[in-house]
Amino acid sequence: MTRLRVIGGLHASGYRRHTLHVDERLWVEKNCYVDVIIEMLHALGHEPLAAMGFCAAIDFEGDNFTFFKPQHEELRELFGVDLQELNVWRPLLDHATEHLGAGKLISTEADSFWLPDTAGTDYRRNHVKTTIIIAELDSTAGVLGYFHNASYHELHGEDFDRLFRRGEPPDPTFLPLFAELVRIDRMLHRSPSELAVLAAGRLAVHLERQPAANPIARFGERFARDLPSLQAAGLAHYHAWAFSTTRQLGAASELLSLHVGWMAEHGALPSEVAATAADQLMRLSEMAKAFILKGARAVSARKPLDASASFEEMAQLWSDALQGLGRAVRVPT
Amino acid sequence: MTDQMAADRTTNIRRILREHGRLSVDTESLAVDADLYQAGLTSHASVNVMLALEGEFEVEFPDHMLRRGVFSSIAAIRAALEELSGS
Repeated sequence: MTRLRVIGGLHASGYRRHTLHVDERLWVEKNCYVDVIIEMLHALGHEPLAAMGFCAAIDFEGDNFTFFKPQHEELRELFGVDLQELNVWRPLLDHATEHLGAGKLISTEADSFWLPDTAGTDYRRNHVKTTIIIAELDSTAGVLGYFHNASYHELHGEDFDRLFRRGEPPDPTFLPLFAELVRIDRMLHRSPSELAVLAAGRLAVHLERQPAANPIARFGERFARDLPSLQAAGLAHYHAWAFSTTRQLGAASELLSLHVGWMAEHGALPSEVAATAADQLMRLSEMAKAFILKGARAVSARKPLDASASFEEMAQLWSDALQGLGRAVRVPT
Repeated sequence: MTDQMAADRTTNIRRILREHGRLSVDTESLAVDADLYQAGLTSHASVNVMLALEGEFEVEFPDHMLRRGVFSSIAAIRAALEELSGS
């Protein structure tokens, strides 16, 4: 079988990440799902910054901040990229061969244990669920090209076989991983200004969905209550907690800041409004970054931490930024 | 601070990076200005590095130092520690 490559010119070596994933970002990696969507859109020639308005609607859910991701409808409207669930009724490798051969991509859950780009964290060390997008496949040579986290990578050999469970006897206790089919046959390449106008309308819709009570204020109250149990559970537990809460808040704030800056750059938002909101959101994101480290210290050393002033400031920054943006955008009629 | 003290500090930073940084390269051969994130330092590991640095050098990084850039190279960490210790 020849190599199936859905996106022409895409190679792991020398791959240039989107600016949302460069080292200068406060949160280079946001969450596994949105990270691969960003890089997939970028590789397809789209501007993922246009699709980040959903960050305005994140909420604090008690043991999680919203694990944010773009809505399928939005990806279709902005870029003509269509995601649908793939019913994995046969081996994933068979599905991948079929659909990559037909010019489609596959987004799938995967085990980081077999993903060599996670060397230093989970590769050959921990079994952790993550999301990848398969863009290139050669099942004869056992080579896979895939988007994961902040970049595009390649794996082969044993990693390929184990990722796809190739050569393993059928295991009735193994449940198939969640997967989605990404159709790109009806893509739309809009001008930046047209995209920015659409994005501003989408942002207005997301702002209407924002929670009635400030999510950061509720996060702060919960943290104050939970700190003793976090300290009792230790640092490994804290890392998992912080990924689901503080990191999502910080990364969403940074994404939203860059989103509104991009819209202003393309004339869809008054520059003063955008600059003010972008600064407020970036400040919030920096504070979340510092809070992750302060929280780790409090858990590790079992020291008290009164973070109420920080939470109060972050909540105010969030509220001010969203109110400012809400006055500047309108839901499309 | 004497040259010997600076060298000792660098040695201790390298040891902490080896024990907590989970880098994909040998910390002994890492240039002092090499980008630790390029060398495989994750956000997760950087938290553990910060905690180990605070324990080793008996300091507490103030809020304005709790940012990505402070832990981006051996030289950056050393500069932050020098600023904290006033030497």
